[in-house]
Amino acid sequence: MKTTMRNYRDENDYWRIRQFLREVMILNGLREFSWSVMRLDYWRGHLIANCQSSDPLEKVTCLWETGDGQIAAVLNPEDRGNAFLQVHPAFKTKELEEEMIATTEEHYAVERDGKKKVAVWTDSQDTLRLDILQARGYVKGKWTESQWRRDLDEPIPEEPVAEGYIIRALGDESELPARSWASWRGFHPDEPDEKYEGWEWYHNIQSCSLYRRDLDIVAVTGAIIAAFATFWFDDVTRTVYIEPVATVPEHQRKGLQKAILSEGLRRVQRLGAVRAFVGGYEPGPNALYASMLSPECDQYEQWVKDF
Amino acid sequence: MKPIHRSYRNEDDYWRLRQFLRKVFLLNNRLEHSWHVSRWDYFRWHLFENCRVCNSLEEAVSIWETADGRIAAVLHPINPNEAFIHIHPIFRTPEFEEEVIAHAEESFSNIRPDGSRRMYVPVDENDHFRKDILKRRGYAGIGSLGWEHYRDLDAALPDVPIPPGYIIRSMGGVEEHPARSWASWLAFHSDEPEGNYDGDWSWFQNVQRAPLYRRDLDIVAATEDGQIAAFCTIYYDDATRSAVTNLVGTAAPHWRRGLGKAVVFEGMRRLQKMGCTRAFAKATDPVADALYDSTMPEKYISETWIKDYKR
Repeated sequence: MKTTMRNYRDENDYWRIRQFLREVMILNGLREFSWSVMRLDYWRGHLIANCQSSDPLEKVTCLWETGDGQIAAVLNPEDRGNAFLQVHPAFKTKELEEEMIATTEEHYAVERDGKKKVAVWTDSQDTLRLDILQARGYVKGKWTESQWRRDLDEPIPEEPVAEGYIIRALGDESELPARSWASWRGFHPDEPDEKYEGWEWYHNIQSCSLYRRDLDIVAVTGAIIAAFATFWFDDVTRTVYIEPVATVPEHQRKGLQKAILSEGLRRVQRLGAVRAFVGGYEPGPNALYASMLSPECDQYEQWVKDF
Repeated sequence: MKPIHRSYRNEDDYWRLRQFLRKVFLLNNRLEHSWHVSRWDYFRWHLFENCRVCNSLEEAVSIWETADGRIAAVLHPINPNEAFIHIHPIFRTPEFEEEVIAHAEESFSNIRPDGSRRMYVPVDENDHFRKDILKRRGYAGIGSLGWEHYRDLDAALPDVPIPPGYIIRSMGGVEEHPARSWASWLAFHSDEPEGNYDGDWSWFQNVQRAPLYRRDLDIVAATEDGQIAAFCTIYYDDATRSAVTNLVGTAAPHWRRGLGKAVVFEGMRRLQKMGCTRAFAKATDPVADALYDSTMPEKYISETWIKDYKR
């Protein structure tokens, strides 16, 4: 069936894309060949709203629709220069993917060192997309996301908690400064403290539709948040997406993340989740996720083109 | 395609019924002609797990399915003699709906000591389709009324004054469950002696097990010394962008101070931020109806029709 591209229009499109991603996730057998709905929420609620990683959705998102208004595909960046193709499996054809990638080159390329650069992400087994990318001159880029997953059909063993720490849900608003500071220390360990910009950004995280504070797990010692992992449970697909995950440097190597992941997985299991996902880009996190989720993962690769 | 009856089987049915109710809710223009998904969650996690309104879901819940596995209708009691019917609009024919009601009349455990039976069937005030069937089947009386309130969250919500001495906030951690349970007792059992309260607050953990439970949508009004004076537990379904206030109450010593209104409005403000566009509440008594008149003014009446019969 012929599909037509159009730009993202309004808030209604956001909610329609969410439903589309859920449907695609189920049709893909609960695999992340397209984004999970939680990743879309996180992109908008955190990466755009807090980090300005890309322009707003209405400026950078394209939809392909059938004549009767069914969404066949969505194209969006996450940060500038990186494009993600969300494609309904029933509409996944060479022609559609070609058109989406051509749109990417036209609209998402960034200029660096006098050259235009763009990256398209793809599952490592998606031969249709890989063939198109190679034919258009793309080469494998620096980054690969290992998409770890764990089915939650067995009991999750408890992990020991290092002495002096407790694992629990994030507290109320009074604890947001500590949570924000942990995030700063966890993700910016080498930057000077004076670059820290405050904690109010966390309200945007908590306004995401799937945010549940009882799934925002922290390891605490005294009044300090030493480590954290936020679990996003989608009760439509019964899947969970874990993002972000970090430990403050001075509290690393104490098994805190194992204890947090184990606690979070038990909580989502009780709510009815059947599969959990987490993405890792570097050896340290990947080793943790392989041990706590499973050695099974999909590889989601960045392919880049200079032109 | 004629749907075939079967009994509820297992956990998989629980989740399939959730998707069915969402689909039906959207097809019904987001009105509760069948249940909102959160009411099904509440039925399972509170009314069944805590209140034991039935022996088992397998025994109580009936499903009609097409040969290709599409759910057409669901039937279950709450009390043994009250039939809740959730029906997909494209399967809604007089013959099929009558078959579902007849099944309730035959299968529910509603036999009284004298051998007679009584059946209650809820029906919306404007649902003449069902009313015609009920009339044909000999339903004569109308029992208690319910008021189905809702509010679209597309406009700014008014500020509601909070009486001095109270704060409105999210429910705390597990250490606050005893206080929350006690508040519930004082709200819903105000005419009973306090000695009847068994002190068991573990039931609240089941309320929190519902897939749509979010603690930041479980709003309480607390006193400075930590008592919970009022509460409003909301289940938000982001798939349909709608929410239901499933548990709303004010502990008797704190009545008539506007706390119910304050917790409901705070909940709706939070819902708005999360993308919710419609909130629902059901009142089954005039006091609750008055509260929701002031917070969710759109409403329609849910009647309960009665039939007395013998096997």
